[in-house]
Amino acid sequence: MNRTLWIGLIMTGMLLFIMIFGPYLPRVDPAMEQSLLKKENGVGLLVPPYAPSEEFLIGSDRKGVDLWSKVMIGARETFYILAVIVGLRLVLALLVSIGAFYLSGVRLLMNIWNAVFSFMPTIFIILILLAVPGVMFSDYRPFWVMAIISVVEVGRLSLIFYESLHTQKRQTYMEAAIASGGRKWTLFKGYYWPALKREVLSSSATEAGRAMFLLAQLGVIGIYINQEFFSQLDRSYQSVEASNSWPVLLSNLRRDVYSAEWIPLVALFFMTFSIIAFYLLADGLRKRQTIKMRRDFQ
Amino acid sequence: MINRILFPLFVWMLAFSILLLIILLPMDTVFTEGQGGSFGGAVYDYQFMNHWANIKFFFSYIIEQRGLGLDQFGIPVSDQINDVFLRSLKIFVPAIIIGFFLGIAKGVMDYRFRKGKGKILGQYTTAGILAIPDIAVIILIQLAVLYLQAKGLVDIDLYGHDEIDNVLMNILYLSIYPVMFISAITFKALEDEQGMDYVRTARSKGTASMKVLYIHMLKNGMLKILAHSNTMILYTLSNLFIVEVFTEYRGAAFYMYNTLGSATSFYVGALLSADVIRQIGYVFLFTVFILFANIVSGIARSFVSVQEEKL
Repeated sequence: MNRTLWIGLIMTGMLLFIMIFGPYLPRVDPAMEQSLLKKENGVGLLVPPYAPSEEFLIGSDRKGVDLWSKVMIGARETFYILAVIVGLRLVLALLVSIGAFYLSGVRLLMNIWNAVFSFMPTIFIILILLAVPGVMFSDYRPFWVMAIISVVEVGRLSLIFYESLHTQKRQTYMEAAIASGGRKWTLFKGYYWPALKREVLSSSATEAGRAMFLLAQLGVIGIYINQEFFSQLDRSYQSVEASNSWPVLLSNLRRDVYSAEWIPLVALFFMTFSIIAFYLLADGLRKRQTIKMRRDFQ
Repeated sequence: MINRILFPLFVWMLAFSILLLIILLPMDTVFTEGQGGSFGGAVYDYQFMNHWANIKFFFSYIIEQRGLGLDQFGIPVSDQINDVFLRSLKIFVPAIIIGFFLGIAKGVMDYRFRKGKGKILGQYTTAGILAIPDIAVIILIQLAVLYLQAKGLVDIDLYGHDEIDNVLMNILYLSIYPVMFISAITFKALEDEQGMDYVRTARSKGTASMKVLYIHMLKNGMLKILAHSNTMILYTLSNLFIVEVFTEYRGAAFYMYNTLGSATSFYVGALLSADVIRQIGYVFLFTVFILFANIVSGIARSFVSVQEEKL
């Protein structure tokens, strides 16, 4: 039995469940009401953030919003962001890798792209690109941020796809397929595409994990997908996160570590849970393929 | 051999030029002001001529100043950049050295105890920690330190850059990922060697299994490990940003993040001018460092493969 796959599937299933039914789960307050003052018997008045208690299952954020509600409701947005990043990256990587497989010009471009990006740490290039005013003030800024995050790693993924196509090409039975008169399109449909499809399936889970990892890192240094500019006292404008997605919970990390450690712990717990879920899923899918392949050959 | 130096050099030049082009993008933004000078909106207006002018200005500036020039206090910008860059290297270089050696050691251990209960502490722990975002590990370490501090057991300074505590803690944060990454790669490389004929031959001739593992398998697996060392350095550099910005360790990554500050704040009518010259200085040093690492791992790889050919 493929235990890894099962655990991965169950964990991903739980995430999917939260995503779909999040707002309707027990103890979730769909309105996400802020309680800015709380009366406690014997203590007096309390101000948020509130520590985990009867009323706030896993505590509240700095505005007094129940964290449990926020996490359950924010799941949808978080995974929506992930889906866009991963989807875009997969489509682009597929186009590039298939192009590189058939056309030497595209192959050269892919190799140059990869070589060039091997000189730029991911966060580095994302930061530089996001500071371009055209991106910063665009009406579609969320889209551009997601596009940048996904494009930055397209080269790496296309190389993986390209290599899987190449491994397929080296199989001995491919010669037979060619010798028996298979045309380019039939070969692609019958041999290359199925091989690629397997790789895409497991890669998409890996990429979702990686993207979540990156979102957590970006959250720490104050870069969010959705943000609005709000005026500050000195007439400057500061970006303020405008969403319920999980990485946003890391925005006050420095302060929270000292005074409200449950906020980052909750955020990191859910993000780590989903990263592990995706990695296990990917690992399980790979295992399943090798088992299946072995069975096919016997 | 010469190709292993020239090719990375060429790619570095290409990468650096692309980054230069992006950094020198003109900042012409038309702001619309609302009531009382509030922010109404902004439209970016790209003009190729301005971009070209920026590039020309930058190069004439470099040539004129014979370097990056002076700041408003008359101190050479390049000196400051070098200073903070060295400060970053102080945590970065130990972290990758620890990552490399400890990683290989852990990988070999994981391999030796791959069967039975050792698997849990070995392979599974490696994979598990690799999946946890490093910021989660950092937070857990910090919370543990804070807890111990509250108990009066330890006294560690968590934020800043001028204490030895800061340096040591940051080396710890930075080296977690490389150790796990390299040990995963080492494990995989050893696993790949496992079924090879030469291993069976060596065993059948009565060579001690430890000797086979350390002398033969590890040497042959080295190539794979070195091939991945570049990826490790890139990851660790990305982490350097997170760690420095988060712990306020004032190294090159921290300051570079600040020169890029305009991504998160601005004044109506004028972007917080990113200190372009400094930014380029940091980008230059970081990419040169990657180039250097690239060349070193390339040369090391060529040595390992030459040995292989001799065999």
